[in-house]
Amino acid sequence: MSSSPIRDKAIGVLWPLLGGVSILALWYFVIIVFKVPDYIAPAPHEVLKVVIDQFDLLVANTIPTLQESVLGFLLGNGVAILIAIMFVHNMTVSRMYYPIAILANTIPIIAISPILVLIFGLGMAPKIVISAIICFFPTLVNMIRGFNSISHSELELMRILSANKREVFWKLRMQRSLPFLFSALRIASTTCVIGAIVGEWIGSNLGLGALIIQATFNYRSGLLYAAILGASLLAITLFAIVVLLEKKFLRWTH
Amino acid sequence: MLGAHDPISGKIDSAANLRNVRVTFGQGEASFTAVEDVSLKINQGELITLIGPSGCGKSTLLRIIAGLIPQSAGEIEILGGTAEDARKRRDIGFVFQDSTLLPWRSALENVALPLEVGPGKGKKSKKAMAEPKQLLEMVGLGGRENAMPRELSGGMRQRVAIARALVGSPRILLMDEPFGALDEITRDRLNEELLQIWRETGATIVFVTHTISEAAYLGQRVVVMAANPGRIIEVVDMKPFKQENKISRDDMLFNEGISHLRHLLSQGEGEGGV
Repeated sequence: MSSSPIRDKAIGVLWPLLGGVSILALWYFVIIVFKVPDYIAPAPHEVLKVVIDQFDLLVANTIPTLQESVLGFLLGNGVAILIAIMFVHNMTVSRMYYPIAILANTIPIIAISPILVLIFGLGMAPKIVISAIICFFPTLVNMIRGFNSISHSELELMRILSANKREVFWKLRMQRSLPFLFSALRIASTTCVIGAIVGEWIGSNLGLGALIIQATFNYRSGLLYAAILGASLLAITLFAIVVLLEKKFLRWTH
Repeated sequence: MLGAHDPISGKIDSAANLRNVRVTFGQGEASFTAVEDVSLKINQGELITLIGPSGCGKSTLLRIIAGLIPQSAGEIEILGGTAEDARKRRDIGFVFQDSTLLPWRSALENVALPLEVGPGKGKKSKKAMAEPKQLLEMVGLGGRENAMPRELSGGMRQRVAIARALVGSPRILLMDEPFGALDEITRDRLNEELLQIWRETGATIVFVTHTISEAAYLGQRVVVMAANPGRIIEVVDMKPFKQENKISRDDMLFNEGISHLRHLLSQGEGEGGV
């Protein structure tokens, strides 16, 4: 058995590619055998046709969703990090509000989305807020765990060196929290898109969420599938950016 | 006041002076006495080792000297003052059993940490990095400045930790079973190198270990401790067991010293309630 790195890599790509092809084949098989009508589920090539024909429409609706997702991502994670810092530095605040934060996390976000639309109106704001809330909790919980993941001897080392609280935070806690932060950001990079789309479902005539609703009600299943494809690509792109940032800023764990 | 300052020369005669120190953790029924009535005077420049079974409070004693754990009773004087002040002057270096290197920092950056934190810190300039670089060379890691901790062996990581503890030329070096997790061959070599560092720096070294031969080999004096409660049984002067200028591990005399320590330790075990 001979193996070269290039060949291993090629095989590594080949298998999932084969998996994808098999799923497409299954898709065609089901549609042909069960005679599924176009308006229920389109064949893959019809989805591709819509993507090409209606490219401008898809892009026009992807941009607002992208903006909402990214702004929601930044807002939700930013606030989560700030609150985690506050919790770590103030035991009283942490004791008072951390259990409430955990409890609030159990509320299904879709259930409170109408409330947010009522408060923030029909513009971009409620979508950003919903997206932010979805990102917020995993990051908050992970950041607090990360800040507290320092070892006893690391803390003793800092005491030996007479380091103050700020130095312990920047030289130790912040660094220790980074692996936890990035695993939360990986989750948030895909959930922020979900948040934006849910927000668009409730009240919007622009964005991938709105397009999905309209296409469904009009039985334009080709457009529906194309919109879903757009949403996936958006989430994958954001995920890839997070992974790239992680590779750049978190060399020591690899 | 303890008589730490020599009134004539103004010099401090002891590195650490502990009198009737007791440390109790917790309160009421759940309280636990880690060390009981410990008195010990550690001379400047001496290499003293602490040995005893687990639970004898040897690590606690080291942390009392470092000022990391407050005593419940008794008096403590470190270099004629408090441990806190000594730490601020970088007069106390500490080496942990696990090297406690920060994994996101290179070997050199780890050694330079004491220059970046604390009250006496200076800006990290090219000049300031001269000391960490020199110290890395001293522990035999010249050329490995940019290695990350995960790329280093256990012995190498411990050398980096020693170099870090030596930043600022501390007058007291406290070592908590620093070679306990290493294989015997590496440990013997690091023992040798530690003696070299001790001679070069002239620092007082307080070395905790649970290995009798290591305690005997390194220590000018060996503090033998027992558990339940943690206490000092005897402080053994090792000079009679060592030939001048050179110590051999195979020496008959040296083995007598080891036997003596072993005897004391088993006695201590018999006394203590379990």
